[in-house]
Amino acid sequence: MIELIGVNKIYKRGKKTFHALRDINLHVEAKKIFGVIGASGAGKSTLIRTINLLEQPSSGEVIVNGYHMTRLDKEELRLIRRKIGMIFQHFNLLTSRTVFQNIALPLELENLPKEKIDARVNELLHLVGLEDRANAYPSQLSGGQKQRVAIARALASSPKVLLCDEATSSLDPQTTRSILLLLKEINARLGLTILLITHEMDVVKSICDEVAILNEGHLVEQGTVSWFFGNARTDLARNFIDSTFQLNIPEEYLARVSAESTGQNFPLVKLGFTGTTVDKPLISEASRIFEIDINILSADIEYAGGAKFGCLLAELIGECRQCEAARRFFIEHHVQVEILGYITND
Amino acid sequence: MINILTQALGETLLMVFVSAIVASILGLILGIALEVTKPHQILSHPQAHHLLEMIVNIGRSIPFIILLVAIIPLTRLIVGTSIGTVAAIVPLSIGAIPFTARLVEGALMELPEGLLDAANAMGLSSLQIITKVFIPEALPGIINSITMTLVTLVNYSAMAGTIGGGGLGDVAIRYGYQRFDIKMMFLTVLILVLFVQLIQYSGNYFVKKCNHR
Repeated sequence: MIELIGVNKIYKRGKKTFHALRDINLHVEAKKIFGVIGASGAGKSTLIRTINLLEQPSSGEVIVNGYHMTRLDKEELRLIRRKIGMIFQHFNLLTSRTVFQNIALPLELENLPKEKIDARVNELLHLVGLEDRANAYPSQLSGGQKQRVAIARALASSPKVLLCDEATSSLDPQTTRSILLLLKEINARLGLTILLITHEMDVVKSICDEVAILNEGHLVEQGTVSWFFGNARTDLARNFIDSTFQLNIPEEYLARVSAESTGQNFPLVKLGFTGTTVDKPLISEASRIFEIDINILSADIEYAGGAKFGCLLAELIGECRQCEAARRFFIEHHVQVEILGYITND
Repeated sequence: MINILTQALGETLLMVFVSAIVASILGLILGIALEVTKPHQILSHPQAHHLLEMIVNIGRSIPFIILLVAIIPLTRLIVGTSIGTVAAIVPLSIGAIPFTARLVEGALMELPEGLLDAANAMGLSSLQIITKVFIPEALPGIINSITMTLVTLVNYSAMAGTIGGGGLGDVAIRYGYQRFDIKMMFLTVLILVLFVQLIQYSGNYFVKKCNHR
């Protein structure tokens, strides 16, 4: 549905040049939700803006729904853009228009009769759950409601593709979740292809089918979300993944952690579950087989892309030899084991 | 005295409102042209932009009293005479156009950049962007610009006496200043003050009414 082939974007300011995108190759299949993640300044915005040619790529091909975007003339581009919806971080609604009139704008361009516009706008208002705010002005709405209006507006001309430029970045976590749920619903119900860019791994984890990492204008890794969580190799990818699982050692334990094993203290381990981890009750199995106690200090296990991910911090209480055997048992079952230190019990 | 004042008020109203209408329409067009020909704008055109810049700057730097006299041939060409109230409307309009244009440009510059992205992404044509996005979104600022133009025109119209335009300002100069008629001067100034208050009050009212930001 969306294909970028060898896309480069170079900005020139006076004598200085800035290479914002470097040889980007990207393929987004129809009806998928594809996320591009990267830190600020990585070129994410530039990347998404080249797709509907808000930014003209310096070289390379941009193909959307079979159209070579860079080869279109101005008039053709305008018509094709109507079939590519876009939503933004700051919503970009018209403050002079009501919710209803904002959603009606793309329909006015198609010269539809008033009754048809009204019917379509009401349908969209229902889809985004804002029937009761039709006559409100954007300034009277919350951030989440504004983004819903923007989504309805973007969907008005029945696009095949929806581009989301940091669409949830200025929303609070709860509102972010509701907007993501709405996007997921739209994707499933309307068969819409969604390309989103974000700096939050949570966004990718909760709705994306596929993901790519962008760093300093390069696409460093891309694949399905379940593959990504399990197999991503670059440090950058691991950092993003770790950012979603933040586990800290509880303070009262921290005081009792030492770096060395004395035989009197017990290992504190961080167990990492990835897409390749065998789906078995490993903790209780290990406990039974090796006759050790496993004291879970904190845990964060979630599902993303159809597989289990996460990590937990646990204290392995038992004989040294048995603890070591348990460690090997975990590794055999594709659990990443990291010994953080040794806890001395009073 | 009442006769003199009512006649002068009528002349002022005629000069100010007719020239404000002309200056608002042409100033709006020129202001929009100034903005949309900038780099990264919808009708980006550096040469045209520089030309417009130059015209506006020249227009704004000529003192109104000089303009009044300098364009007498043009005035005669347009209204058939270079003397009287109607003749004063021509230089008043021309003097106010670049002023209004700059204010309109400023109102457009204050619109968030994202609006243009959204409009482009929705596939609006340049004309549609101007009529459906820029003008309605900047309307509070545009009304403010027109209010300021009206007040400025009240001021300029005082000089219209030079070419026989009449009006309250002319009465204030001739009766009050030159003949030292304190009463007449006080009355004309009082009427002008009230007039400007009324313009500003109405302007603010309309801005408030159409501002949904």
